Amino acid sequence: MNDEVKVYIVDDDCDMRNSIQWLLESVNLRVCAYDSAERFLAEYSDNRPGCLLLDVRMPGMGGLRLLEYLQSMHRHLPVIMFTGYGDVEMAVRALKAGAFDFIEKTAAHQLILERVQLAMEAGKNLHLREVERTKFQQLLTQLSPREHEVMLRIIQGQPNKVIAIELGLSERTVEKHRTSVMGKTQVRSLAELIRIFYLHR
Amino acid sequence: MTTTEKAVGESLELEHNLLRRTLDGLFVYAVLMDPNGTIIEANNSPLISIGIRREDCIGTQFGDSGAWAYDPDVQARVKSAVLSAQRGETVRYDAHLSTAKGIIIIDFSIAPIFDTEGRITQLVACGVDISKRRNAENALRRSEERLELAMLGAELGWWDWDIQTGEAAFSEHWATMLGYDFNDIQPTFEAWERLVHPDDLAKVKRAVIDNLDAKTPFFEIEYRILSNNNEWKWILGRGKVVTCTTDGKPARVTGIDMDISSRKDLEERLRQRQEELYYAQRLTAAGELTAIVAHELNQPLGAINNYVGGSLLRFRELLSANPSLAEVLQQTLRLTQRAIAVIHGIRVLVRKQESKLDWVSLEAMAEDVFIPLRTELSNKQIRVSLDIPSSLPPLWCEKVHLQQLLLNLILNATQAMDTPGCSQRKLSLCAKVNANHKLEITVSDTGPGISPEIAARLFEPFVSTKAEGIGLGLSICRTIVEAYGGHISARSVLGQGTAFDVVLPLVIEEK
Repeated sequence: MNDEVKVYIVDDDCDMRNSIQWLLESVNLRVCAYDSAERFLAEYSDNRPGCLLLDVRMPGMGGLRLLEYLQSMHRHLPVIMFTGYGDVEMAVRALKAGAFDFIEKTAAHQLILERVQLAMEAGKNLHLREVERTKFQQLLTQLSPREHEVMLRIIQGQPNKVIAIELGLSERTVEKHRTSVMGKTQVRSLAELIRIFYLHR
Repeated sequence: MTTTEKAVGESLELEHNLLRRTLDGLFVYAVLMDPNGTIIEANNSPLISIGIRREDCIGTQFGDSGAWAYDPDVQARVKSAVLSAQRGETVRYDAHLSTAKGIIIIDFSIAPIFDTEGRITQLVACGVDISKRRNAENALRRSEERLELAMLGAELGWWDWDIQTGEAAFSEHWATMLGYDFNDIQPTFEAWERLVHPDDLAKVKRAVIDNLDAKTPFFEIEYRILSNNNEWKWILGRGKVVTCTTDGKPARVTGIDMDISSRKDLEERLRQRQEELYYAQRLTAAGELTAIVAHELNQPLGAINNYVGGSLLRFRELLSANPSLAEVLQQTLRLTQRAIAVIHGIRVLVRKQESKLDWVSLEAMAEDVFIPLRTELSNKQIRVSLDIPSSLPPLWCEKVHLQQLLLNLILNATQAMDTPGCSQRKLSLCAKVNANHKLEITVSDTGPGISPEIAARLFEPFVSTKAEGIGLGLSICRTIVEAYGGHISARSVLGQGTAFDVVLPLVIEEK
């Protein structure tokens, strides 16, 4: 069930944590709750799709530092900062640091659900992209050095004739490499190869 | 010679002797001359004092007397006086004579004596030694000059009040100090009284009366007085009863007055500054308190919100079968939102003060904060060491926030060292730009330090090391520092002291 989308909650206040879990589970969301940034990091595994509801002010590694850390590591987990009232400056900084959104803890439950849904959509997309990226990187390793070189030229829009002259190959050989690249990278068109390449390089 | 003649002769002789003894007894130089200026008679005792014998001078020319022959100028003056007297004039001047005892000053006069027909029959010269009096007068004058100079230098005006007559003399500076012309002011007690500020008059009079009643050795009082340009000037007055009547009642009071308006002005500005600081402190304390209450209440209110909201969704079917239960949950949700709105309202109210961001120099701010504390610090024998380079960039912040931050840290440090066991008392304030281009401010003390248990929770509200402390100071500091994206921490070694490190980001112009 690796692909199941989850909402992760990190908040040191037990009541807030449990109540949010209760609210989210009421609309059949899967929730994992942690009472500290440290515990979350210890248990969270990198390749799960979802979003994170993160309390700003916590003892130990605070919300902002966890956010910064996640931004440097897993850019595919959208983070909603969960703030007390008046932490506007904090929220602004969180957004600058790459947070997906922020919600006040006292916001109406409909609003919370709405925002969490949005973040989860984003999380799913980011996850798909991440999966695609990993897969693409994996596929690229199967290319021979020559195939790799030919691919780079194809992407830059060089015609087979030019590639053949510049690499000192016959046009036929280039054509063979080209078919092999398309096959190994599992793309149906040149356009798709270019899209995936530029998305994940 | 007949008996009568003899009797007359004896009687004359007697009279002559009496006159002679009288003249000799006088401490006045008296010399009788004929119209030509030849000495006929002179009294004896004063001559002895200048070393001349009567017998030697009778029959000689007065102008040639050895008493002034030593100096041609002095002699010429005497001779000219004799000539004037011979013409019928009276001459009088102060003659300075050099004697074995030094220079003496003689009030000298020479006058002709006329007979009934107006002819000059004799000349009479007279001299009184006024050296001592003149010296005393000179000494007094010099002393007065010195006093006047000292008073002028110290910008003091003096006054002298005769209680019996009500007359009051005062120095010229006393009048000019208040912008008046010396002659503008009536020299009376009442005139002074009319100038004193009505709110201060009773206080001043009380102080003077206490001194008149000998309850105090002198009086010293600060009061306001009307200056010539209709402004109130602050005066420091000191004075005392200097003379009493024979029955012990005060007769004369004298004193000095000093214009202390500029000092008073400074004191007033200091007081205002201090009040501003404490006002800001109260405001921030109120803000902090509301923030804490809001935070503490918002958490459970938010949780209620989530539970009830979740239940409405979770038990949708159950609730549609039980409309009254659904209603109760809706009401609970509504009331929770209302409570949240109330807290929000209070927060807005406390935060109402407009934020006035400005470029603030830490150096100037530190000076500002230390000025009102100077007395307290010196009373507590705390040495202050400041290390704030002038090259530090200014901070883009609200002035009161930085003020508050420094004040809280400084007051904490001061109080930490205000314990009997604390012998070395040094408060340091250092600032620098660190390697990450952030401003680092460190306030440290040499107090007893903080125990690890308290140190861990130091910045939490309601944690205090002081019995009377509310424990909001450092919590406020943290709120301020974090509002500017900074960080505050403490280092403490038991028995050695505590240092607070504040790191504030420097604002770089954003695109």
